[in-house]
Amino acid sequence: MNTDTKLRKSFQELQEADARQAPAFRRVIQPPEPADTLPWWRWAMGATVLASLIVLLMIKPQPAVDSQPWSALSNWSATTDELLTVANTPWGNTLSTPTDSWIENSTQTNPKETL
Amino acid sequence: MDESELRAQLEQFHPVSYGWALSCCAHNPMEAEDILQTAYLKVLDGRARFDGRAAFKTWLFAVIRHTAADERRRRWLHWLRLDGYRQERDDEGQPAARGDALEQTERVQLFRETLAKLPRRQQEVLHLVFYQDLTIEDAAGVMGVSRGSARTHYARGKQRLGDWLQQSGHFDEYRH
Repeated sequence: MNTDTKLRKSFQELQEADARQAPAFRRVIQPPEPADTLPWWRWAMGATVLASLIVLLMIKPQPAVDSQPWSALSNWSATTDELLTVANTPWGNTLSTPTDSWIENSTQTNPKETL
Repeated sequence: MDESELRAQLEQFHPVSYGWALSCCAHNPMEAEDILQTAYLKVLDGRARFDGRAAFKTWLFAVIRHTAADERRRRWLHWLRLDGYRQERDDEGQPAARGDALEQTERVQLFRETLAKLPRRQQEVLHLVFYQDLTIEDAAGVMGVSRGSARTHYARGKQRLGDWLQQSGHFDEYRH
């Protein structure tokens, strides 16, 4: 038996082994389904839900603005407002604060002399 | 040739096409199946068009070989981006990967490993001639090389493979 015949026999054994593990033709011929894309009906469902949300937001009645709190705010006055009007009272000028005397003293005395 | 005829032809040559696809991807069954699927789709959707200048089998084998080369290039680029390295690691763990001899006889496995030591061109031409029963001229057409080049690869490959198998005792069983 020459080398050609021996090689042919070896290749034939290889061919038989390959044929045993060959996948079915039908399985191979099927185009692969892309794994990273969603089926069309999922896109359709998503779009429907989104459209429904938009419509609901558009037709939802806006709450009426209650004017009562606004008018109440405009009439509000602070309780300390009275203190600001003290100076306008007839006796307002007669009031003095403890610091008034300090101011008077500082204008009459020379700071260098005090040192 | 319409789609049903193409499909019938593909189905007829499917077992030998699988053997050729295995040969084109270092006998990795998963990769061979992917290559075959891509090649079949190319044929069916017209990206690869049979013009009748060669036999259908020869033309189909050339398509499979081109597809395998594209796949190798793609994997190489992935490897450069380190994705391929991880993929290779994953492939090593697959039960049907190369080197798994569960369904192979030891003889076939030894032969396959010895064949894999040859340069790619020599492997291809020997496979096409001895496994697929093509002439060297047809093999040259499939491989996209000149006849002279195919003859050289054939002669060198046959000599080396014969010597190695003789030394390993693989041929001993054929004495009788």
